[in-house]
Amino acid sequence: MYLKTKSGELKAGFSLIIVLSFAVIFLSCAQSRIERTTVNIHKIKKYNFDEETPFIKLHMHSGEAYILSNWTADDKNKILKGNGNHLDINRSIIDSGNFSIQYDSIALVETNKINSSNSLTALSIMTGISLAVTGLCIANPKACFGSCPTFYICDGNDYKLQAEGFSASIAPSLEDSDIDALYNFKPKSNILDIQVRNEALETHAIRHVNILALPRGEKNRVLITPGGKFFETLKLTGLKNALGNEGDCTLKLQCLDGNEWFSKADSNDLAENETIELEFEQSTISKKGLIIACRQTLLSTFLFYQSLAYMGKNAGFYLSKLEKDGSDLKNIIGYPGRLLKNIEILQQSSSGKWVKISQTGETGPIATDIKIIPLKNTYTKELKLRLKMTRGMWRIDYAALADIGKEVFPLVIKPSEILPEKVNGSNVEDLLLNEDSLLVTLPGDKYNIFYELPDNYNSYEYFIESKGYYLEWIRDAWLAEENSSMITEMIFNTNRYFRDLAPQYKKIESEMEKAFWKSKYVNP
Amino acid sequence: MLIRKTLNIFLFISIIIISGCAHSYAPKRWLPDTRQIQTEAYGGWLTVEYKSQNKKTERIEGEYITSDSTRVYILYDSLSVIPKNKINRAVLEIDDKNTGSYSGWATLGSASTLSHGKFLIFTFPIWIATGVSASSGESFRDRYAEDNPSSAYWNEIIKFSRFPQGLPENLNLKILRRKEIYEKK
Repeated sequence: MYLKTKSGELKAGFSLIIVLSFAVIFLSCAQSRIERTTVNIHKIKKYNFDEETPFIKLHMHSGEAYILSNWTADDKNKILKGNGNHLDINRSIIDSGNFSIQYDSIALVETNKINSSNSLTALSIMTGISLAVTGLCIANPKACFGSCPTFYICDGNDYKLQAEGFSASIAPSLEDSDIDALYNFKPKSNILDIQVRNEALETHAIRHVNILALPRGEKNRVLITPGGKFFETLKLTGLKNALGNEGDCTLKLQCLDGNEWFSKADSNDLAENETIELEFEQSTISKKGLIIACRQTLLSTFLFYQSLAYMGKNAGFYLSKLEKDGSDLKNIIGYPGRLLKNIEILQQSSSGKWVKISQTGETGPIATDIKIIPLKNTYTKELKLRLKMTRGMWRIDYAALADIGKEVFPLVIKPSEILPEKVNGSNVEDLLLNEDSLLVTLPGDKYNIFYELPDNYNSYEYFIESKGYYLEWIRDAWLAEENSSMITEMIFNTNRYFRDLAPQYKKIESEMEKAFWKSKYVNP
Repeated sequence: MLIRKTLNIFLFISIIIISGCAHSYAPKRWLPDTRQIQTEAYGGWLTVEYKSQNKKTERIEGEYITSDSTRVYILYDSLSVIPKNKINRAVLEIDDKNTGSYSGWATLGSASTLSHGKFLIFTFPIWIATGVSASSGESFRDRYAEDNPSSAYWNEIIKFSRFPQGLPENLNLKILRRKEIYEKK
């Protein structure tokens, strides 16, 4: 789903580059710059003095020549007047100044128009493109790709992004585990090769990366709840109607196809909420769960990076305080994040009142995650639900109902082999298998982790469970924005902080997604 | 070691970029800059290969003075008059090209793709292709070359001679002097 979109964007980008390059190469092909025209003096009126041909050359019958500017032709008196030089046959200057020349002494009139250079234009365009690519991160550093370890699975030809791990764990004290569904993964053998990459300017500390295998019936799927329980899901009920603040969004949410619904953030307050109302018509009355596939927009990335920018050189101090001072400071610093809402699920009771049931949401803007939220009273034919969230913070790809079956429990599969892309001499298997150690990766690092799946590998649903934390690198460009009063405002007057940042975010919001994916990079 | 490797890569890129460029026969600094064409009245630099009386191919080059229906007049140290029907190949150059600058530009541009991360896969070959095309395009533009040149060729290029109107009547050819080499400031 999401991968299809990204692949489509890459293909479109690639096609654009190919077309552009052909255009630039074609443009740079040989083409004359010098347009020289020679005419008989009696046709001189056809030519006008203009900026492109500021000089006229008169070739005389004698072999001498005049080079004139500011010239005028008087056809009536057969005289050409102008200012310039009179040259002999060896092109030495005989005289300079204003001249009046009889037509009958002139053999030919010459003009030269100089066109712009196509080669120069082509090189300038390429330089522009080059600088644009180089300058992407410098110009918009908060749009640069970043967010925790990314996990890829090879589909036989290429590695495709499947999940991102522990996005919220931005410091050692916030180390946590994260479970992501490998919903699109269909094993072709009992060996699973997952590639973990560090694609951002970050240091990743990975405690472990395990695969969770959940047994399932042939046509059933297994999904995880926000609370971390796994349920087998049976029959699906499609969405009948979805209405957001900006109108009907049913089509966007009906299929898991990468065509996501999302909205723009509020212009005045980044913490402003919005809702989507969902309607389902059930054919069978049974215990249901709401399936939601979503990821974050870049609003959270922007806020994280902007906060680090305001911390500036003191970012290390703040983060070390977080490590030392424990949960109280974590609560204070974590408050801004909590103010930005996850996706709350509300259900309409028989009295018409909206009651909050649960909330869901995957931290991070990279990979879409899918979860199921068990509903409470689903024994009515028509079911109305409301999603409440921070405006402009979520990209939702799919919403559907599913019959909830039995709870299932995972088989934990640990790595059987780990191969670094670059051999570094350390025993990386031990690092990931021993809970007391960490695999530390730097920008550009890639590791292939192999797992042995059960023999009947198609009878399982797979999830990836990663645990660890990461440290964001402070970019030079951010240091210029150091502002301790904004940090104070972020912690003690968060509502105002989100209002103050709104105009800044709105300036880059529309281009941020594109810039983010383009900046995905590697070598520091 | 790294510096040597980098220099080798730069050299390699430069060779690729410059490999498709046309060679100039004109002495260094003889041809005017493109813009200067508007304000000077010399002919272009003409190089002709012709069969001499002993059937050997010889080359004469110099300023293109003019041509008539049967002969071509070329001046450098002295004036040469070549019968058109003996000429196997003619190349006329009008202005000084920026081939070297463009090749250098493209080489630096190609090297700059090191800062493009994985996009280097796209941008490096595009830079090379653009560099080859731009340098080659620059070297071949406004350059009139033809094997066994026809009368149409001579009619087309006569406007780039010192006397496009033809040889002036009663002109004493002995007093014609060559253009002094242009000194760039």
